[in-house]
Amino acid sequence: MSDRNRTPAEVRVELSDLARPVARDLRRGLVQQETRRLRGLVGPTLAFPVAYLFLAMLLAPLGISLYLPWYVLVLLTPVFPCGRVLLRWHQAQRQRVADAVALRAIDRELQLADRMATAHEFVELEHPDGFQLAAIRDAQQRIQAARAARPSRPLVDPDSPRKLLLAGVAAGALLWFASLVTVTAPVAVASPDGERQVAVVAPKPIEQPRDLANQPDPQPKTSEQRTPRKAQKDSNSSSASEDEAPSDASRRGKNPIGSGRSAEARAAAGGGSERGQPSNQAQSTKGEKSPKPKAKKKSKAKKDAAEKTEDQKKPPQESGSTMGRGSGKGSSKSPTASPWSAKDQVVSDDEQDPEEDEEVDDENDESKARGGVQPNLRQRKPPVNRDLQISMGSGKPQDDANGRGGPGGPKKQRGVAQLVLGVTFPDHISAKPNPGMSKITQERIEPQAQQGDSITGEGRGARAAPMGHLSRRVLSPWMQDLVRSFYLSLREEGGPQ
Amino acid sequence: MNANELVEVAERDAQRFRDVHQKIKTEVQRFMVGQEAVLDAALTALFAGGHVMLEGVPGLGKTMLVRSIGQAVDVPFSRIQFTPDMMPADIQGTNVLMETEGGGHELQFQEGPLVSSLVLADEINRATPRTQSALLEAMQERQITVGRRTIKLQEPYCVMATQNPVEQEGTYPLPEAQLDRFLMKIQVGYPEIEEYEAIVDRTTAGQEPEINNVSSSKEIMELRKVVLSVPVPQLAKRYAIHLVVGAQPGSDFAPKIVNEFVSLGPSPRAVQSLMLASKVRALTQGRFAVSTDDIKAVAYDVMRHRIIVNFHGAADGVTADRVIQDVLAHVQPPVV
Repeated sequence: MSDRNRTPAEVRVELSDLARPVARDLRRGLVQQETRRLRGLVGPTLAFPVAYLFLAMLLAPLGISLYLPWYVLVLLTPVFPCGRVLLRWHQAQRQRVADAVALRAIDRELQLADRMATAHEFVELEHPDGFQLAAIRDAQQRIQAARAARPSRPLVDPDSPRKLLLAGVAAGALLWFASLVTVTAPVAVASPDGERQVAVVAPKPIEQPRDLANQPDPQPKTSEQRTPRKAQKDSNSSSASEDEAPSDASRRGKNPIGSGRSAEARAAAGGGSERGQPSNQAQSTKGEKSPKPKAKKKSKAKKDAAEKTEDQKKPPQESGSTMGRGSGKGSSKSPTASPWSAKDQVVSDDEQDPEEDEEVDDENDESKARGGVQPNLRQRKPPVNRDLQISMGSGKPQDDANGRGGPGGPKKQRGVAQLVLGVTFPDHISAKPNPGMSKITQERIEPQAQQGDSITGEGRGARAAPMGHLSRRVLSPWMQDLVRSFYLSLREEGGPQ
Repeated sequence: MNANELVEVAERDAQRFRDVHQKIKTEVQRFMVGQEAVLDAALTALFAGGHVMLEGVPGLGKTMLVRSIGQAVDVPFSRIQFTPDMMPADIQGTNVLMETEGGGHELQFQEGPLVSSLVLADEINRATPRTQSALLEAMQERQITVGRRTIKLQEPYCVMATQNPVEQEGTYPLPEAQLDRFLMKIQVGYPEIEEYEAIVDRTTAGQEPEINNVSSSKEIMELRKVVLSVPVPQLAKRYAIHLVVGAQPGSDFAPKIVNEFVSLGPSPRAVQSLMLASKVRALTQGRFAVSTDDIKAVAYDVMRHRIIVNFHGAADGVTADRVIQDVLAHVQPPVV
């Protein structure tokens, strides 16, 4: 039993010897893992040429040419993914795998229940106790077996280089195709007489579009040359975006409920606001193509900003501030429920706030609903101040002071209206109403019978889980009938009553 | 004492533990058919100095198992059948007016069944929380206090409680504080098909086997010290901690199921219990130190009753065992 006489230091050396090759294997495994990631980069590697190709094909009909020299493409495509992988690969090669990690891998592989890793920890102790020494000896007896049984696995994936090579070839082919497409892409050239000409340009004049951009455009292509519908749409959107922006923003700021209109109502309102203005279809400039959506976005952003500033300017209405007016955000008139006619959206010359109109209408409706004509609450004057002081501390006389005394400050409302619960008492909602219409569609579908699958019975296995709640068994109807008929027959035969 | 002597003592202690454990197990298995995992868990609790909760439907031999262990180990054994009308004084004991020889009277303390060594708390969830809470001090402090009298309970002290998961009407679920005091909660399942024959033969043949005492309370206490001396390497310690923390919602190690469906995770007492139970398992497996495999093996029994699934989890049929399964799959042994 020479093994039993070994000191912990000797066992430590043996464990290190055992761990070294495994650590090397693990390091190789890390390198291999990074190599596998190269395979995962096939997609990103191909993404650049594919995106380039797609963009080139997309922009070619518009006359925009993406031109990059082929060698730039070749250089740009793999440089980022491969550079990242190479960096990680280099790091993996330099990474040192600790003995404890290697021994843990051996334990896991040979199912040694952490014996090696535990022994490796205990041999480092200065004064191990009996059980720790016993654990070291226990591991020591298994070192030889572990050394013999350590599995050697193939660490290199043979498919990796082949797949990478294929990916490289595919990327190269795509790049070549992309360069072909870019070079022979049709470029739109504007002729002096205003007609649009499409020409296939040779590789040499590829720079022509760039020159075209710098040239003053004598007569840019007009929207009439396109399809009428598109032209009208573009003119509408451009005019709306350019001209509508300030007026529409201010108007919407005044009437935030208008944001809850339907698309048709908005279109009608937009048309109304542009009434009297000449169409600028023929005034489209060279910035007609690309700046259009930007301008649209800009006007929309302006609109939002205007709404926001309006909201910020508006003091937050307390719930009682609109009481008695019978309107506000809590009005029963839902912007989505009521049909918005176009005439409601027409802005009159006197710049009357449409919200006020709605409020007056609401008040009239509510006064009618209360069963009688009542004075308009909005027309009521605030109550007089009953403060006895003629003047405040500042010495200035108050306008409404009449010396009658009483609580200061105007009352929000008075009279019966404040007692009637029917008066709408809106909460403060600092949001805008529903921006669009909602539509609910109900379909009536006849139920269809379907054939269910038959369920096969299963054998009852041993229980290992909690039982759960068991319901009491109920007699089925035929059994109840059976019992009933049994007792009835007994009664007929003169049996026990 | 040199290193070789230390090793010999440790090996002798470990061997003795395995022998006694096996003897008790064999003796109980003369009477008890199957349920080896349940028996192992109950003996683990006995040797680790903890308490055990057995949960299963009626007729699975829970009470018989505990009674058999009590007979195999020569320790004072008592059985308490919990009922809804039971009061704390019924199990702790109370002062009784006794007649003296001189014709006078005096109050004498009559100990209840809790004052024992191996206590079978049968159907513990049938008692009211008031009576259940009378067990708290006994289980944790190993003492009971009645009035001004405090009684130190005899070691080894072990409460083995049973609970029926089916008949929940008229029961009082144990509070978390009391559940946490149980080292393990063991699910007792139905026997295997082939075990039914042996059950029929042993219980209906008119010959009931007798169980002999194969150990003593003194020996159990000595072996408890052996259990405590089993070392825990850093790897296993961290793994146990990560497991327990991983079952707590919102922790760094918690998997998705814990964050979604667990309302209360295991307490630090769960780590202690994991360590103690793992030490017993390491000794029974012939090892001298705890491994991560031991922790995995006892994780279900130790953590099951310490995980409270929230309402959504209960509605989705998520059980504590399912949570532990996911935690075990999610939390890997750390690299030391």
